[in-house]
Amino acid sequence: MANTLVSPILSDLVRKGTSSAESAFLGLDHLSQILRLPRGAISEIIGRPSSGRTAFLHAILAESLSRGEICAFIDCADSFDPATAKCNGVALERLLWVRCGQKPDSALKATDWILHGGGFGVIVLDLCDASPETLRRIPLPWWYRFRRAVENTTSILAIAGSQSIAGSCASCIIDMERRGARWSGSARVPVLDGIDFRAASRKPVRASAPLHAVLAG
Amino acid sequence: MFACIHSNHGDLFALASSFSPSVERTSPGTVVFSIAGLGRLIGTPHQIAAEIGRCGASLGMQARGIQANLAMANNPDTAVLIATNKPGVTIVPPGKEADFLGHLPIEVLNTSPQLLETFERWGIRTLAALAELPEIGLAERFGEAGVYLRRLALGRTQRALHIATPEIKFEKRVELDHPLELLEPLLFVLSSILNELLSAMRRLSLAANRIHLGLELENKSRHERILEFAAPIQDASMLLKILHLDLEAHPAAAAITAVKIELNPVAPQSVQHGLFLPSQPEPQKLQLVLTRIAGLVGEHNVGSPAPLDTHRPDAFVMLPFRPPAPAATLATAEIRRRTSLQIALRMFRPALQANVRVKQERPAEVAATGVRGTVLTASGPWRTAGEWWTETRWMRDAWDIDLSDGGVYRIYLQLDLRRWFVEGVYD
Repeated sequence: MANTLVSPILSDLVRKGTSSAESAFLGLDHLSQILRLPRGAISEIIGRPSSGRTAFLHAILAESLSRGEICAFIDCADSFDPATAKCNGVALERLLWVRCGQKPDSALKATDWILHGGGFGVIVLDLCDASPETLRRIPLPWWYRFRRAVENTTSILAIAGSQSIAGSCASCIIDMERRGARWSGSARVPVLDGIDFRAASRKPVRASAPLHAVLAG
Repeated sequence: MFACIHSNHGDLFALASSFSPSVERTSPGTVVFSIAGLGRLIGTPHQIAAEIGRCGASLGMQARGIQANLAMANNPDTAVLIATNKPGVTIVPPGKEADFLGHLPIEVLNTSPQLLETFERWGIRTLAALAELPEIGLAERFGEAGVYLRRLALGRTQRALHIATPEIKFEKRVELDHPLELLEPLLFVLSSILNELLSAMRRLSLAANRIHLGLELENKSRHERILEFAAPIQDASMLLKILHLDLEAHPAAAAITAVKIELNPVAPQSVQHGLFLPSQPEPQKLQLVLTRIAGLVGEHNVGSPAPLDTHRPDAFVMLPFRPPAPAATLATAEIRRRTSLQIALRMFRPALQANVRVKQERPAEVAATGVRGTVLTASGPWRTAGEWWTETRWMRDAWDIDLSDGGVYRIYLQLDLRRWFVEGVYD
């Protein structure tokens, strides 16, 4: 079961968030270079299950909410867990959660309306549980529409999924990869301690090495 | 001069309002109003009292056998004391207040029981006896309260009336010439009603934070919609758009024969934007977006989640989205600093039913929709149970498992059903 052990790496990085107007969050030098999410643009966070995508989204939301912004989480598969989000510092009272009940069309429409409503700091479109076939069927004009809606604003549109779907409309793609689970305790009674993950910026390609970090269990 | 009417029945406020715009609701069944200037219109205080009596009779108080006391005095407190304690009509000439009040018992004063007990011990039983006490002595013993009570007993207090404003209702009902089936012509009717009501609100510097739409249908039933807004709205077109979206999502079951709209008036919200504060959604635009989304995914699927104070897994409620002002940001930031980044859980709602092969009392293989593999490491069982006295009771053994498909999952065995489920994946 999840406990409250502190990650020696990522938690420190998240704590030292920058207040720069251009970059969204994460202030430590090498991390901010690798994982900077640009404002006024679409960013994609991609990876397989247990690669740390959702924890990463929580970190983005927590940082934005702590600065007084209002954020939205458009949840295509109704998979958002308020309890772990709260543990990760997400101020739930300032978070608009839209549960779309496995309907990608509804998620896309809700995202469009929220983007055009304006004033949100971070808008997360969670398509992690949508199948590759479903993702491929999303018409490309949606992403162009989103790019036009978000540009010249201070909002971040973060799209999470198992693969890149926005194509050339995304200004930033972060590839998350699970390295393995950490267990403590004895062989008979192991306890989940955390998950090692690797995060690398696929777009824009940066010269710095990928980040290796661990999520506390 | 002031007049006070005391009665346990009847619309005293309407009676008083027909003589003066300055009416105070002193208590339930007692109103005080100014009669200054009525002398020129009606005549002497006796003639004014007679006119008040006639007006009360025309309002039906006499016909219904309602008895009322009327007192006129130079100050409101004296008028109230006499009207509430002396039956009939009493007119107190200026300067004679103490004579009229003197015989009243000390208990008529609206003061603390401790003070009344002290007066009782001193043998002070009437207002006349209280009035004879020295003011300086009362001030030394009781402070300002003692001095005020003595002035009340002498009929020498002066104060302004607390003017009661009548409750204004912003509602309108329109009966249609012929039943409407389509939404578009109905919107024309709604538009004119909203324009009228909201322009009346704007004149009084008010805004609407709730709208109650009542549609009377041809099949004699009613279609009611009550919408509450995150921020008060003064714009009729915005309100019309919200109603439009809501009626599209919740259409009436039959043709509409009459429309009634009721708006709840509140003070308009004014937001002071700061140069260094982050941008926020415009309240009216936000309301429109929320209404659109609620029409798409359902009202219960949009809002802010609030975890419940229970150990029951996945226990939360969806609250209407009402983001607090940015001033509350610091506290949130403090909370965030105290926490660390943990693995997040992605829930499967509902939980996926699974076939689990158990080996040596530990899960060895798991097969569910989209989740299949051999268990590499398993942590558990973590038994939890609770709320056995309600329908939301649970009792289960949970496991954290590292599966060969590359995911770390939380599965559980529901003990009463003896069935396995995959609750979520750590991510």
